[in-house]
Amino acid sequence: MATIQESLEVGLKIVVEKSATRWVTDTRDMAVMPPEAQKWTNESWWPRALAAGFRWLAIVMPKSVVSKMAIDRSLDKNAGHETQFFGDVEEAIAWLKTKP
Amino acid sequence: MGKPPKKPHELVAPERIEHLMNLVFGLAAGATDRDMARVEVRNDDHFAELEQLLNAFAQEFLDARDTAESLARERQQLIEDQENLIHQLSTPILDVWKGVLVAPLIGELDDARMDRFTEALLSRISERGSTGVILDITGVTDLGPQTAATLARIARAIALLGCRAIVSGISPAIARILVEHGVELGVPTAPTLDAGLRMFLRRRGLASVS
Repeated sequence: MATIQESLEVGLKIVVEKSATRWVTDTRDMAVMPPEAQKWTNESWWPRALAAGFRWLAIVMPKSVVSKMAIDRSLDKNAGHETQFFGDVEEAIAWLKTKP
Repeated sequence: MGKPPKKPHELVAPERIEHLMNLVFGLAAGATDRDMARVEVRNDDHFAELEQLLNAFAQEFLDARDTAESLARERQQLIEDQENLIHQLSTPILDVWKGVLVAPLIGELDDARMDRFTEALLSRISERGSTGVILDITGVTDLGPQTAATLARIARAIALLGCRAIVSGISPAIARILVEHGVELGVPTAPTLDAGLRMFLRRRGLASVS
């Protein structure tokens, strides 16, 4: 199984290739992000994603509250992006469609 | 924009809170290292009580998880052992006469079961130097074209070991399936196990046995 870091790297590669600014991610069944992955996301992934022009992240909320808090922790150290949690994929996509 | 930075805690050093949060997230993410699943308690204050409590809880949590994993492994092993036993019981290979084996097939014949059966049967033929095998399918509930083809392949594999095969117990329904799908078993067939045994005995000059 791919680690969270591996999955995010694949996503970032696509962001760069497609010049993507918006992303919907379904985390309903995602395992809890370990502390080292949270740190890596904040310190390594977000700066590179923001530098590539990425701006809007719609997250379909995990079922686990702990998992949601872990994701929160991986988001809070970088400005310049707008991230929101949603109950389902349709809502998340509808929100992203309002973004340029 | 991202979330505004949280205000620093006024009473507890932020790194102490950070360490506790890492402890909980680490456990939730499946951490197994017991040394990592604890925070260092350096102070003698009320917050240290919470640190000690969470340290104790983390160790008990890991104990409980180890126990649950161990039980799950034991249960899995038990299931595998029972599957093997059921397999052995459902595909017995019997020595019925000098050099003659009978392998009664019962129930539904899926690919995995047929693979295991073939391996067991060919090993037994080789070990015993058997010269004849009766594959009895009286108890087979459903024989699809694919299984029929597999049966034909088993019969050919038996022949490659210098052993003769007979398929017995072919019911009218199964005979119809074989004909409809054009499956050639490529070996002699007999309507019943009894008739199959007689065929072998006749070949050995024991035709008078009745």
